[in-house]
Amino acid sequence: MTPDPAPADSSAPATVDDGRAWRIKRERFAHRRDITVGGLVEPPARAVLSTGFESLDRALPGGGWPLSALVEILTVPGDPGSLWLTLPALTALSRRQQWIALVAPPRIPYAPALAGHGMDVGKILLVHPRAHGDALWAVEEALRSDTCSSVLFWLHGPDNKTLRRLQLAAEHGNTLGFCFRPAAHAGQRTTAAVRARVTPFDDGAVIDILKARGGRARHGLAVRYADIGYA
Amino acid sequence: MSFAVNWPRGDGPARALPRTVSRADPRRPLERLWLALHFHGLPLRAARSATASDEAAPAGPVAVFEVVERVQRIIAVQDIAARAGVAPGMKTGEARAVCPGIDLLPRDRPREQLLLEALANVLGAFSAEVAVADELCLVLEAGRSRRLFGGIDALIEQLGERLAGAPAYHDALAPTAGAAVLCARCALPARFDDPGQLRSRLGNLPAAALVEDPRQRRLLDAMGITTLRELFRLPRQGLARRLGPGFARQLDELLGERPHAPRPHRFRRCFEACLHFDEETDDEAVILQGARRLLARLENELRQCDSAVNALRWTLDAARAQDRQTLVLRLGTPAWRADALTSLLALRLASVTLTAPVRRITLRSDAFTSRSRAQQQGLPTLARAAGQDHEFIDRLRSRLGEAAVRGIRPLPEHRPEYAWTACEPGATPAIDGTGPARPLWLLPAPAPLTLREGHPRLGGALRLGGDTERIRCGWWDGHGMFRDYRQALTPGGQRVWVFREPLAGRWFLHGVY
Repeated sequence: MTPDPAPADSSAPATVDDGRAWRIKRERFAHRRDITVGGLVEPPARAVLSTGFESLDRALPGGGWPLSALVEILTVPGDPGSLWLTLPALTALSRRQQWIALVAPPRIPYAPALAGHGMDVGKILLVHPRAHGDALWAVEEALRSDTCSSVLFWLHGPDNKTLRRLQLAAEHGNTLGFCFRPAAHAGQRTTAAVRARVTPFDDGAVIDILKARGGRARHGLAVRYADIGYA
Repeated sequence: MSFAVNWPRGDGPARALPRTVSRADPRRPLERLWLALHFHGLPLRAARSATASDEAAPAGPVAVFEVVERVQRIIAVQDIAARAGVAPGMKTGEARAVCPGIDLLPRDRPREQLLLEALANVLGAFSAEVAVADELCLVLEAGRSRRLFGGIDALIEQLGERLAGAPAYHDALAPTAGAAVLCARCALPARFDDPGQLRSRLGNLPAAALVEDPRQRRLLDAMGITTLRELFRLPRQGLARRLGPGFARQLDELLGERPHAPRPHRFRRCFEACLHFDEETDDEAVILQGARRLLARLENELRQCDSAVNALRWTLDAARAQDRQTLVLRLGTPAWRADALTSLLALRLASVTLTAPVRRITLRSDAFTSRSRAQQQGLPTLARAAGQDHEFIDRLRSRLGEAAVRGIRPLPEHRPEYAWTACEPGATPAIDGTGPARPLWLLPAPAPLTLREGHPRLGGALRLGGDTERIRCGWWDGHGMFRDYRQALTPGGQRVWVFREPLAGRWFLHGVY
């Protein structure tokens, strides 16, 4: 019987992600070589950047988007790319002396709106390659060079091998990569550090974290336009 | 006049950097010292290279002649001819009589000028101030550069090494530019830096060396003046009356009684070189190798005049004229290193397909810019970061084309379409756009919405919400609009930005949040 250090409170959530239960277990079984403590994994210490949404920060390991990794965002048809989800992070990154590259965006990123949210639009680099191969090349270059703080890209069906390559490039260049893909890809395996599915809902969206390296899947996280200042 | 200090160039061992002598420091007035180089071998070199297509120079005696006052006179003589008795100033007929086998070449002034400019570019590595004193003479300010080179003697020695293959010249060092030029012209190997010695040192030189104009020469002759000493003794006012005020001013400048700096040489602002391949090739590696050689020459040239380039134009010539391809590389930050420029070309070559095997490549650049100015922009850290930035953009543009990489910028404008513009990356002024809430995505052009019972639809009936924002302006420039913008929700839950034209009653989708 594991002693429960927390007072019996029925309103407390069933899963506590702060690693407290894990630590208790680990201390208890530290001397037992034959027992492996599973279930909860201690979040690895790595650089993260707050997403700007409380519910997302709580669900993601470390409390935010992993810097120097690839984040896959799956969008429903008709959604040009849920840019607003990445906006608080991009605004923070635009304070750095580095570019924010948007490769093959499907529409025009609207400069007045971005500036209105406090982003330094002077850091934005719009890249419109003509061919698919050029686009992949540009994404990898941008991820790998340390002159970009973040790279957002909209590619048609990059396969797993490509994503793996881009993930490595992001790790190499310490770059936060956002890969926007149709939600139809949810069934495929992914090598990205985080995979999130965005379903627009009323005045915001519902996020399903399908994969989070060092954490676990979470469903039904609500984020609102109001969180980034839209009425 | 800019106060430039010549820092050591190249990647060689770092020399001790000189402390700059401040102009404002009254205890150490800036000593100006002028080194003049009179290239008396230039006419011969120019005339020879004009006639002899390759290095096979004629072995016999050679002299260069020019028409002076309707008479062909010898102006430059090669050693063999000089030993045979030919001297400058002879008529061509006399020269032929003295030395029957002599090869007489006409003077080629345009080519001389080109050669002299090339030499001036070489001198650019030694001083911030280089000037063309006359058609055969260059002068450079050596006083400020001497500490960098470890003394004036070391500077002259290094200059001599650099000019090893140059036409024969006499050099002279004096505290005024005019005196240095005069000494060099008269082949007087002067080396002095005391302005007080000017009169005594120059005194024995012929007065005719000072004047170009034949009329003035005749006047001096008529006055019985042969040396400069006699000229210095005469009252300046009378000289000005007889020989013109310009002549008196020239004397003042010569003696340092009137400050003077010759008009600085404009360093060559363009580079053009080509390379023929032994045989036609479509192998990128071979082309790059050739390009590298051209770029190394460009780098050498740029180092000499402390410049960098903003753009390069490559021309790839094939056997047929219509297969010629031109590649233009524009650079975000001025560059001069051959390595970096080669890798940019490699990227560009990878993205183009060669229509035909290449026979010749030509590199041309006329976008020279001062390197020191490029380096001085901003604080060191910012400059470094920005420099890296633009290298990255140059790489992208080399492969994707220039228009494929842009920045964006908000504009103060009510009409949504005109409230932004594409611009050079990083060229954005910091505008804090605290206006009404705008969507993050804008459609390139408003998309008409279907209506059912007067209600707009987008994959189902739109739920209209929020306040109506009326935008009505622009009638003055022909792009007038009258629109009522509203936010709306699609049945899928997507927030969009739509507008209605009150006059026409049509609905359009214009943005997505």
